[in-house]
Formats: sequence, structure tokens, C-alpha cells
Amino acid sequence: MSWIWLAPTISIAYLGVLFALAYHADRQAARGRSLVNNPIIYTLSIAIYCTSWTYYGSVGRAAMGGVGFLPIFLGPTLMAALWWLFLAKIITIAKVNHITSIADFISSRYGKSPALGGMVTLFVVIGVMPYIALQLKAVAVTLDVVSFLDEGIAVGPLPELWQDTALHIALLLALFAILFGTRHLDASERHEGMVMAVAFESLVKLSAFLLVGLFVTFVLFDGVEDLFGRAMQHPELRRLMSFDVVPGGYPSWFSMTFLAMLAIMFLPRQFQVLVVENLNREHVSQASWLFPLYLLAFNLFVLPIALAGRIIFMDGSVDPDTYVLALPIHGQQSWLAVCVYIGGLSAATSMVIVEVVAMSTMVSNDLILPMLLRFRSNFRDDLSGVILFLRRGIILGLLLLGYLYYRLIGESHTLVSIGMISFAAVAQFAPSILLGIYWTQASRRGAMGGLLAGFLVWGHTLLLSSFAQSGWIAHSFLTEGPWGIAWLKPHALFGLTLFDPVTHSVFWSMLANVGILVMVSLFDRQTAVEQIQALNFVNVFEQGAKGGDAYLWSGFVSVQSLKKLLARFVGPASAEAGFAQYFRQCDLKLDDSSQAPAHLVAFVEKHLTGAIGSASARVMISSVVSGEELDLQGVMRILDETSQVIEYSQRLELKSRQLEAATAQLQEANARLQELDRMKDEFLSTVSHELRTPLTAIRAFSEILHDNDDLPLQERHRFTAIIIKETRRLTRLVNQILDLAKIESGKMEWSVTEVDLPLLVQEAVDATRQLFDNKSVQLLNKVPDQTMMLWADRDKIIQVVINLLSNAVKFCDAQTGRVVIELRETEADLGVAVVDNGSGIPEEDLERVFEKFYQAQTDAIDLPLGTGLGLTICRKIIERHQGRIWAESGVGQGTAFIFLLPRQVQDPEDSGSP
Amino acid sequence: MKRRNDRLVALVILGMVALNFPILSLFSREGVVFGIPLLFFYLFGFWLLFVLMIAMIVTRKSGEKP
Repeated sequence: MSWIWLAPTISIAYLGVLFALAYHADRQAARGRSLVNNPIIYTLSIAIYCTSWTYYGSVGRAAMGGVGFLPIFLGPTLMAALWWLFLAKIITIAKVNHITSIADFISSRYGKSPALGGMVTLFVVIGVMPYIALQLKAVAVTLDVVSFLDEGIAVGPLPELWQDTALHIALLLALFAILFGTRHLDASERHEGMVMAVAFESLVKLSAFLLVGLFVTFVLFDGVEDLFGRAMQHPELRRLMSFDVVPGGYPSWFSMTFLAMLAIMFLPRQFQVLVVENLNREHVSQASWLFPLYLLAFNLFVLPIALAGRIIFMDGSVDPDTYVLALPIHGQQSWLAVCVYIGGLSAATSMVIVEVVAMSTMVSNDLILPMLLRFRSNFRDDLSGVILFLRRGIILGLLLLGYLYYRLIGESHTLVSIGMISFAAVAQFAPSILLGIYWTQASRRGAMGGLLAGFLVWGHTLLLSSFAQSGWIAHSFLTEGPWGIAWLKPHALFGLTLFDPVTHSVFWSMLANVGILVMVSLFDRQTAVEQIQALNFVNVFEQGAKGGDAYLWSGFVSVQSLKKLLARFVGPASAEAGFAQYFRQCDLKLDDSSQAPAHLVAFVEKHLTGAIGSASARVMISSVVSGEELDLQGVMRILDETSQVIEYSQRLELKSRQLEAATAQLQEANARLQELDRMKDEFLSTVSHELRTPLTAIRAFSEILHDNDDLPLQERHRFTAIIIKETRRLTRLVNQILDLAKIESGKMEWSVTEVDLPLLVQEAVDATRQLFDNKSVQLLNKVPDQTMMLWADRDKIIQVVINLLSNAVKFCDAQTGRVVIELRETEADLGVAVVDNGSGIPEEDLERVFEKFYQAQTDAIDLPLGTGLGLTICRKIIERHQGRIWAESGVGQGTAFIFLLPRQVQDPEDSGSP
Repeated sequence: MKRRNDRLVALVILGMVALNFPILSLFSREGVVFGIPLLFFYLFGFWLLFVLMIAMIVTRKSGEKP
């Protein structure tokens, strides 16, 4: 039996098995029993990341560059840890907005711009084409190797076009992609069958690779130690175990990690399996560690196989990219070689199928349909058939394009360098997407400018230079720069020669991309649609964030026209079901002829977006909605109405806050009034009480005198003396009350003149001398006998000093009592202290002695009773002079009453009123 | 949920530091661990550790919404 026939037969049979599996999964999904709705299948489907590039290319790169292949897998490992942050948000946005591709995502985010969607699609096709070519190359080369198993490995010139294995493979893959991806048109663009097949293939390629690894390590060699030990005996292979051999060194290592981090998210096929085919957002959290584990397992044997290949094929007769296949052949294990081939086939086919299906959706929805609909937006027939046909044509076209690329360029490059070109291309989408979902200011013009700049730099520094390397354009392009302009040399832009070509390209393209996106956005004005979409995307997790776009349509359209429109793209049955479900959901009862509310139009637009992309859906809706699509003014008006309501309610809030404040003030005032009222009552009752005490005494003694004519003279004298004393007290009390009332009501007359303080004190001392002598209390005037002038009302100040002196004598013990009057002065003030050695005042009462009717608690019974108003009046007088009066004391330490008056103050108002 | 996100971001920063210059250069020298060259052992060992740490963070208190 010849391998020439067996290998292609096995290939086709394997693809047939895959298709049967996919068909089964699709049937189950249609019955509502999803086979792919679990995190394991989700993880395995993400593993289409491992293409034939991983399968063959990693070993090839490891054989020459040691650990240099690892960043391509370490990047996704790092990114997987962030999936829970980024990916979960992107998935939610995509589900809410019915987004089915990267182009759709970007165009939808930036105001559903058809131009942006078309641009992204074009870039994807240009950027990913080398990658597809790479897979075709891998399958073709390995099929040739396996087909000539019996005859040895043949490496010849490119065969004739119609005999070229790669072309046959391209056509075969196109057929399968059409069968997997475009059997019917579905608004969600999900393909459960395809996902199932891809997941199965991921399992096959991993098993096959592990099998080779085990075979090489444990059959060809005696385990890991033996393999590494023998490799270390060769100085050249020994170098592979250090970092020195990694091409480009640490900068290249970093830039490749960075590119791989972005590629795992934004390669069209990764976006398809990660976002579009995702059934449950919770799967992301499991996949974020299962997928890196898969990558780890896949890479475990890369280095052993590479080193084994280098040892066994020391003469360099075998291309390192084919070591995986060549080693089993060398070991005479034909069936193992076929297993390896099947594994490589799995890696390549799954990648190609998902990639072209994802790209066909993009090309049809974002490139061809918008143009088609713009020119002929009044199709009246069922368009779903046309779209399917279109997509099939696109798939075939893409694969032929990939083949063409392979034919023209692919031969001269190793697997890895071709792959990196595509990675660097899709990395350009990262700024618009990642900034777009976190930064509302990112604008359409910014995204377009950034993408365009990034791609131009990428095209110049990587794509064109790869053309130059393969001899397709003149080699002087590389060495001297285009048109001989040295600073435009593709590998040394502006003379930057620090990095390897990929790092160099990544640096400049990302700088241009991010820089322009940010700068333009900062100075741009977004349209209404852009603003609404930006908010929809950024705030997707917030309640009520959706539905803003319901405002975007304000024209008139009947329910029936909407239904017809939807039916043309998704088929009548599916359209009817969609409407029925939406009516139930919103509790709507509308017949076909009634006018559709704005949110229903928005619903149809979203549904259409799933089928034909956001930009096309927009064009279609605007074709059936009569009346203008809401323009900026219209949206602003609606927003304005909303903002007026908001403003009105804010004003109401402000008003109510002001009212609250006013109420609080009123309450405070009321409380103060009540307090004052209470104080007045208290004052009145105290005053009447104080007046009644002497009155009672006077009346009682008067009555005694009146009723008893026979009282002895002596008694009579005593009683009249009491009456006189009480009358005086009464007079004094009434005078003081009148004084106080006058001061408080401001009716007191003040005659402020320049007075000499020591003189004034002497007068007060003279006036009270008798009091001291009566009680034998010593009085010491320590005020120096010199002129000290200040502005004051002379009589009032004398009154204060007299009051303080008489108070002091009152609380001093007879015989031992001693009162000192002394001068107190500071820079600004001048005053007097009256210090006694009496019983003192408790600290808590020091302030209260100045209150009205405060009477000191005292044991002395024979004290001449005070009125309790003296100190209050003193304080009023001193305060009127803008001075201070206070008491200092402790129980048993005597008391000092001190007042200070400002030296310089001459209140013109006071002096004016004599 | 905020804490889980913070932990993941911290983990990625750790990974980026550990898998780049200059930490990486520390392991680029001759040496063998369990028969495996030091650099290979470090890279794959850290990789495994990193995956286990993601697993630990995301499986803890799963079922919440981000």
C-alpha cells in the first residue's frame, strides 16, 4: 500500500469525521441540548490559538533560538489572567449589541461607522492573509513528507499549479469552511457544530504532540536526563540552554510577549471563539486558568524534541520546522508519523476554518453589504440567500488569496517570522478596542486615524520589508530605504536601530496608533450616535445603560415594514418568532399596521446587526423609517428635554434644601426667643422677690411701731434703724435695676473724657474708707501716684471701683481682713485689681458671680445684704468701655477682681453724647 | 469582586516582572535541576505556578458577577 494515496485519503476521512461530529452537535443544539455549553469545550475551542505554527514552528524556532519561542505562549498566559476583567466586559458588550466580529465591534463602538468597519475588515484581510498562507504551507509540506514516507523526504522546486498539494488543500478547506460556517444564516452568528469540531481537534493535536514528545524522550532517548545530558556535551547545543541565543534578546522577548497578549484576544478567530461563540460568561473564569494549562502541556516537549532533532540530524540535512515529523520517521514509526501528521492537520484546519468563517462574516457585513445596500437599498426579495451565497464566495476567495500569498512569498520565510507579521497586524486593533471600552472620549476620527497610522507603519516596516526579503520588490528598499530616503528604511525608521524588525515595528506602530487615537480624541467633538454608543460600551454593566440608542430613531414606520425588513435578512419564520418574543417581553400589543415605537425600531436594528453588521443594519433601517433619521439636533433636543427635567428636579432639591435651612434658622431663633422669654420671666420673678424682701421687713417693723405705742425707746430706735436700712437697700436696688435697664436698653448716658486712673482710684478709696474702718479691714492702695490717662466715663468707673471695694470688704473677716488695690497694665490695656484675703469663690462660680442676682453662699449672717446686681452692672460698664472684667480665685485663697480698659480708645460716638 | 480583579492585576504584574529582563537573566546560566537546565526549569516552573495562582484566585468565591 502506498502512502501517496493513503495520506490524502486519511486526511479526507479525518475531515469527514470532524464534519459528522459538527453535524451532530448542530442537531443537538437545534433541539436545545447544547453539547458545547461547558468550560472545557470553551477552553479547547480557544486552543485554536495553537496552529501548525505552534505544532511545527515552535520546535523549529527552539532548535535555533532556545527558549525564544516561549513568549508566543507566555503572552496568552499572562493575558488569560486578565480575561476576567477585559474579556467578560467585551463579551457582555457583544451580547447586548449583537456584535459578531471585531470589525463590527469597533465600528459599533465608534458611532456605527461603516467606514471604520470597512477599514478594519480590510486590515484584517491584509494582516491575517500571511497567517493563512502559513497554515497551507504547513499542511502541504507535511503531506508531501508523509506521502513519500517509503521513498524518503523529497524537497524539490514548486510543482505545477494544478499539481500543487497546497492548492488542493486550500480548495478542500474552503469546502469544509463553507459546510461548517455558512449552512444557514443566524442572527447570533454562532456555530456550535464548528466549535465542537474545533474543540475535538484541539484534543487531537495535543495528544499527538504529547505522543511524539514521549516517544522522542523515552524511546529515542533514555528520559529527560539522558536527553539534556547528551545535548550538553555539544557546546553549540549547550548555548541553546541560555538566553544568549534568543534572537533579538530581551527587547524582542518583551515585544513578542506583548504581541501574543494582544493576539490571543484580537485575532479574528480568537475573537470568534472567545466572544461570539461564548455561551456563558462564567466559562471565562474557568478558561482563564485551563487555557494556560493547555498551553503549558503543549509546550512541555518542544525543547526536548528540538534538542533531540539537533542531536540526531547533526548534519543539518533536515529543516528544523519538520523535526516533529522527521523524528518518528527516523525511528521507523510510520503510524506515529501519520498521527503527528493528523495532529498538524488538526491544528491547521481548525485555525483556517474558524479564521475564514470569522473573516467572511466581516467581509460580507462590513465591506460588501454596506456598499451593496448603499447602492440598492430597495431590495424587495429575501436577502438571506444572497448573503449566504456571498459568504461562501468570500470564503473561497480568502483561501485562494491565502494560496496566492503562499505561492508568491511563503517559500522564503520560516514559519515563525510569517506568524509574527500577522500578530503585529491584529495588535493594531487593541488600542481602539481597549480604550474604547474604558474611555468614553475615544472618538471615531481618533480611532480611524490611529488605526490608519498603525497599519501604515506596520505595512511599511513589516509587510513591505517581508516582500523585499522574498525578492518580490527590490532589495534596496531594505538597505537604502524607499526612493533612497535613508530615514525611511523599514527596519530603521528615523534611524532607530536598537531593535530587531518586529520590536522596531511594534514600537513605531503602537506609538503612532495610540498617540493619534488619544490626541485626536482629546480635541474631537463626538456626534450624538458616537456619544450614545460610547456610553453603551463603557457603562455596559450599569443598570439602564442600554436603551440609550432607542432615541436614535424618530421617524414613522409601521410594524409590518419592520417585520418584512427583518424577514428579508433572517427569514420570515425567524423574524416572526423574534417579534413575538419581543412583544411578550415588553408586554406590547401592536397589530401590523400600527406605528412602531422607537424602542421596537432599535430592537430590529440590533437583531439585524447580528445578521448583517451594525453599519449595514443602520443603512437598512434608515431605508424603511420614513422621516429623517434623528440628527444631532433631534437627539440633543431629546437629551435637552431630559436635562430640563433633571435641572428642574435639581432646582426643586435646591429649594427644599434652602427651605430646610430656613426652617432650621427659624427654629433656632424661636428657641432663642423662648430662652429670652424664660429669662425675662425669671428676671421679673427674681426682681419682685428681691423687692419684696426689704418691703416685708419695712412693713413688719412699721406695723410693730404702729401697733405698740408702749415700746421702749431703745427698741423703737432699733426698729426705725432697720426700716431706714431696708429702705436704703430698696432704693439702691431700684436704682440699680433702673441702671441695668438703662444700660441694657442703651439709654444710659455716657460722658467719656480723659481721666487719670490713679486719681480716680484714690477717690473711690476715699469714698469707701468708712466701710473698711467700720469693719477694721485693712485697705492698701498700691496704685502708684503718677498720672496715667485713659478715655472713660469717670463716674461710671468710680462706681465700678467702689462696687469692687465694697464687695471685697463684705467678704473679708473683721480684724484679719486685708484688701489690696493695685495697678494692672499691659501694652494695650490699663486696669485695676482688687485683691482680698477672704473665703474665695469656687472655680465653677467665677463666671456666675457676674450674673444677675447671684448671691455668694456665705456663712456670715451679719453681712450687709447685696442686691446681686452690682457685679452685673460693673461688667456692663466695663464692656461698654470695650474692656474686660473677671475674677480670679480659689476657695480659701481670697479673690481678685480685675478689670482692664484699653488705653487709646476714644469712641467718637460715646464722646459725642455727654 | 473588586478584590478579585485587583488580585489578578497584581498577579499579571508579577508575571511580567518575573518573565522579563532582568529577573530572567538571573537564570540564564549553567546549572541543572532534576536533570533539566536551569533556565528551562525556571520558565516552566513559574508558568505552572502562575496557572495555579490564577486558578486559586478565580475559583475562590466564583459565581459572582464582575
